[in-house]
Amino acid sequence: MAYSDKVLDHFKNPKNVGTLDKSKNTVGTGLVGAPECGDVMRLQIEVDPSSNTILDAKFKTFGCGSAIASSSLATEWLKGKSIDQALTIDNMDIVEELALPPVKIHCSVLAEDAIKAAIRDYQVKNGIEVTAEASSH
Amino acid sequence: MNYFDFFQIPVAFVLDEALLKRKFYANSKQYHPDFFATTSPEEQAHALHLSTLNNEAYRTLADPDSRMQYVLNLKEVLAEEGQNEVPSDFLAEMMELNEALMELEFDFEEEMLKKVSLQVDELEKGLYEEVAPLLIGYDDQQATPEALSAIKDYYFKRKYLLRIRENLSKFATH
Repeated sequence: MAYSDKVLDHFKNPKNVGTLDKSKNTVGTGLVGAPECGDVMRLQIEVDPSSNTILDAKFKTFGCGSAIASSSLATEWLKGKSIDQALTIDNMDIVEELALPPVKIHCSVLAEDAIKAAIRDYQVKNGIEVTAEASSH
Repeated sequence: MNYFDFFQIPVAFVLDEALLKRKFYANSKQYHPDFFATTSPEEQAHALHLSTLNNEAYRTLADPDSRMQYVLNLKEVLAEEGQNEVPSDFLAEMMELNEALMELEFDFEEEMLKKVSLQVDELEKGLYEEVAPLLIGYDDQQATPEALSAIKDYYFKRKYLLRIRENLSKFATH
């Protein structure tokens, strides 16, 4: 199976790999996994509470190239977005952008789940009404 | 006909591997294309089919992990890809182990490698001991959904551990 150039680029030069301080109230952490392949993905966001905007996003993914590329792209998209905007990111947007083949669609689903889990964590932590649905996948 | 029926053995997670091997060899002989060289094309095709089935069935059942996956699929307890989950505390532990391995790649320390290996060994042993009675005592006619669900959890957790083991083995040459 050939990966698209965009997948390869995110895989070879992943953006935003790292960790945010999860003890901070402004940081939301999402931890999700794809047990079929033993993949695990952590995605974190740092939110500016006054504007509800995502200031920073980091990820760490142990998985295949598509899973790394999906989470790398997700963090790129998250930065600068409001929480509401971030919640509209759909896994199919990631599939399209990265031209993921059908067998790798679950990697994009994982990234979407991670975004929702991170937002949920942020909202729960701060006693904000939870608008991020629990994993629908 | 499932692979267990093919070898005329009961559906099980733990089986007599020597017996399985004997049956596989016996079949290999019986369905060998050489013995069908002078028979009709239909018979030849049938023998080839059985010979292929014999190989696939043996490959699947001989390995405990692929056997476990096969039985769980037979019992239809594996959800569609993306619907299966492992507990989040386990995920967090796997994240930590993977991160420790990554650090080792950049900055190798014998002590750290030993620590991680030991942690994986203990984890693996603990998980197995928990599920072993279910695996060993499995009775296909009386399997409860709870037992199958516990075995499924074990199967997925093992996936993570196998992957970590694979990465650990890369340090063996240090």
